[in-house]
Amino acid sequence: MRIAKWHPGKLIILWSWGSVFAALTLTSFLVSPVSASPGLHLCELLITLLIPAALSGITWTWLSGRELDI
Amino acid sequence: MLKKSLILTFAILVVVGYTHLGPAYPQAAVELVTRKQPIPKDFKTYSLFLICNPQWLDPAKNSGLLQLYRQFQSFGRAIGDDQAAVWFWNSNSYEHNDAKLAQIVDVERSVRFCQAWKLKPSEGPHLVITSTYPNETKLSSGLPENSAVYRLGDMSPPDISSLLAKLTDQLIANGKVNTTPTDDATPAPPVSLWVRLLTATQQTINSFGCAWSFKINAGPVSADLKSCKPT
Repeated sequence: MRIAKWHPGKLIILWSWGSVFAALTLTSFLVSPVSASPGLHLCELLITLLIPAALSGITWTWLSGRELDI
Repeated sequence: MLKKSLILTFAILVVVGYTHLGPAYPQAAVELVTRKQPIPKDFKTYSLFLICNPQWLDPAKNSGLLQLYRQFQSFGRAIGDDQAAVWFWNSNSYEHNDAKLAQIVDVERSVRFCQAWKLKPSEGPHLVITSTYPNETKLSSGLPENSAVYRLGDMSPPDISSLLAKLTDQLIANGKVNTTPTDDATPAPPVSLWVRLLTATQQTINSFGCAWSFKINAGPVSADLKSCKPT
């Protein structure tokens, strides 16, 4: 997979979908009491944190500073 | 004429005396026990309502106290005449309003029970139901056998009503209650650290989400958008 060739528009799409999923999991984490299902809430919080972290890693590692290469 | 007057006077005295004394113990479901009045004997069970928490002496608590008393009064009537529901007053001049109710609750007497039975005042009021006569001269021997303690401190009035309804069912059906208090009355078991951290995180994010508001004031049109409805 040649991420270095991604179009900036694809970057926007990637972050948009990531934001949507992160928002959904964050909402799910916030709307019900933790005591009801602590394990599920922990997963939701971790996913909420991992999505932007993973996208940041991908962006930083493969997509930053490559504008000149395109 | 004199004879008629005497008869009339005697009749009035009997009526007034009966009104002040109230019904005899075995017929009384709710006992209003004045300071020196002992808890009556010969009941199947004794339900003691103990208010040891000084917060309940606050005049601001009068309405809540009255509500509690009414709930307990209904409970006492519902469990029947052979089971005593005991509420300690320091005077039998109580009135059916909430003006001075807190002043005539015999907290000191309740405190003696709480001290002897090691009940935390902060968790009160307490409802102690026992099938053993609660002898006040032998309180130091501890909580009687076959006793159940219910801590009502953290319970809302509807929860207390629900609990009293369950206890009424048990007392009527079985003549006793489970000596292990129900889940409604006992505090929840301690949660682990990570769950508390998770709960704190959730609360923090929720409070942060409520911290902002968006206001537009454009002459005749103004809008005020708030993230959360204040509670």
